[in-house]
Amino acid sequence: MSLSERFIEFVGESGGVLRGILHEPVEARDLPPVIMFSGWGGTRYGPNRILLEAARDLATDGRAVLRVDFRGRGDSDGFVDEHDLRSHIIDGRTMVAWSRRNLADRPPVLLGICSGGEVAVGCIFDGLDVDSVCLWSAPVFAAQATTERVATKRASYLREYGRKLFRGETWRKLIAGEVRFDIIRRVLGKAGVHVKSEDEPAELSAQSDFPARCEAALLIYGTADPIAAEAIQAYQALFSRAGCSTELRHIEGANHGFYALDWKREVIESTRGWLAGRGTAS
Amino acid sequence: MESYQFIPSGSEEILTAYHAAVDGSPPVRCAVLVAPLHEEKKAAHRPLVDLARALANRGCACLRFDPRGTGDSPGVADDLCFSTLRQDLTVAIDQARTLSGLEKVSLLGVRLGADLVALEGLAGTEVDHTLLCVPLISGERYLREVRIRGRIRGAMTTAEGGEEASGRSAGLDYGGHYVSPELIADLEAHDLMVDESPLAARVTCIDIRGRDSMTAPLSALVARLQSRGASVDARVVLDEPFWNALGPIVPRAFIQAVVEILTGREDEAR
Repeated sequence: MSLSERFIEFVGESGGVLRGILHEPVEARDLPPVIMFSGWGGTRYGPNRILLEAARDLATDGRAVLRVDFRGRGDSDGFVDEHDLRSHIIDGRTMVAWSRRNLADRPPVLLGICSGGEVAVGCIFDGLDVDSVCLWSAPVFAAQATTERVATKRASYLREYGRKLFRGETWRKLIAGEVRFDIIRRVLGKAGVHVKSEDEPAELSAQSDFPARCEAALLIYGTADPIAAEAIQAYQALFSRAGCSTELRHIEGANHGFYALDWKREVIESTRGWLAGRGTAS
Repeated sequence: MESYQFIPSGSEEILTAYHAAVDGSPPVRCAVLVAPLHEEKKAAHRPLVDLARALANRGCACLRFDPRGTGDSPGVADDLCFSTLRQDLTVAIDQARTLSGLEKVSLLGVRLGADLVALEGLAGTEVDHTLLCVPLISGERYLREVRIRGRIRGAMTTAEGGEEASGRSAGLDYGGHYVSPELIADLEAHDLMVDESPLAARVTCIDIRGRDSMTAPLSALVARLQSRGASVDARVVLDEPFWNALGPIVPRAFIQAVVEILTGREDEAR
């Protein structure tokens, strides 16, 4: 059984070229295509290649899968620091339009990891009909860097730095002057919480609702992900208000990026199983 | 202009990205960029795209590629080892020479990519200049990092990285990347300080760090290469270690330095 993967490129709304990979189904079935959105700073293959591996498995299951870099990311045109959640959502809509023109004229499945999950939700807020969404470690949509959020993440990073102090390698770097205090200051300063610009969408609230069709949502979070509790609560409430069935899967012990082979495999298999059930139902 | 292509390598294919010189004229030079492995590759992806575009703007064509089992190329990590990596690099060099029309190319590698560049038959007539950016130098050191990182994260959560990959014999789980027994053996045996591979006509060692002095291991490598008769330049660039960055960054000082080294001109892309 051979996998068919093609490099594709098309022009986005900005006029720049978006580039990525199309996985054609090994044996085509009448299933909605899957469009994958990478994380904030990521590329289309995702952390530890999780998006690529998931795409190959889903293609084996008979689905077309599209993985394309946002503007300013991966191989796509644009400059790194000129793009934000709003521009990523516009690119996400362009990818969906390409899918409807070239793959199947039907609402796709949107699958996003981390900030890519926010892009998926943003597309639905923008009125885009989708079959369903899979959110992997998605933070609260357009969440502002509040004191509480920064503190939660900062505490998680401090624990990591604290443990590094017990490493011989850390002391060697300290003595050699190789520890990058500027980076540590930056990490602890914003704690990796993306500070939004004025033009970006409003944060998800208890009144937020979306105007588009989305039948079902799958939420996957690691139990060691500091952002999980707040995000799960927000998304379950949002999808419930919209009459969209929601399923939540926890990956025991996993962190935000699912950085272990077992966790990665569990995320992919959970998603495949859930989508297979959806395929049967639709 | 950029062109992306899957081309054959071994029994599979590799994805290549060729950046032609922007003004459409024949390139003055051509560089093959060799990325690190594992999560460092993901973090270095965009900085190397930005570097390739800056070089292309200055008349230096570039070829980037994903070795088999990495990035978007076919293959799985189980088959990844020095022999496949070096074979893919050779294929990439041939492709760069074909597309650029140039006899000789320059090679630039970052981290493990730099070590591969150093190992690749550098005396070959097809390579005129190698740039080694923060090479590992010792594979043991890299494996130590893999294992330490795994232990730290393992202590913070229930299990993670650098541990035995469950269900697979003898491999390691490096933060969700499988490190095969073959790659472990290659890394254990790898040490540029004792390596006798032929050297390119010109070698530039680049350190990227927060202070203006080269690390001791890299200084020792420079001395070792010089003692073997190579023409070696040493350069320290004050910039972030972009292969470790969590978010998107543009290593401007690094890009500027490489553009200057390879083209003798400043980067004026932005």
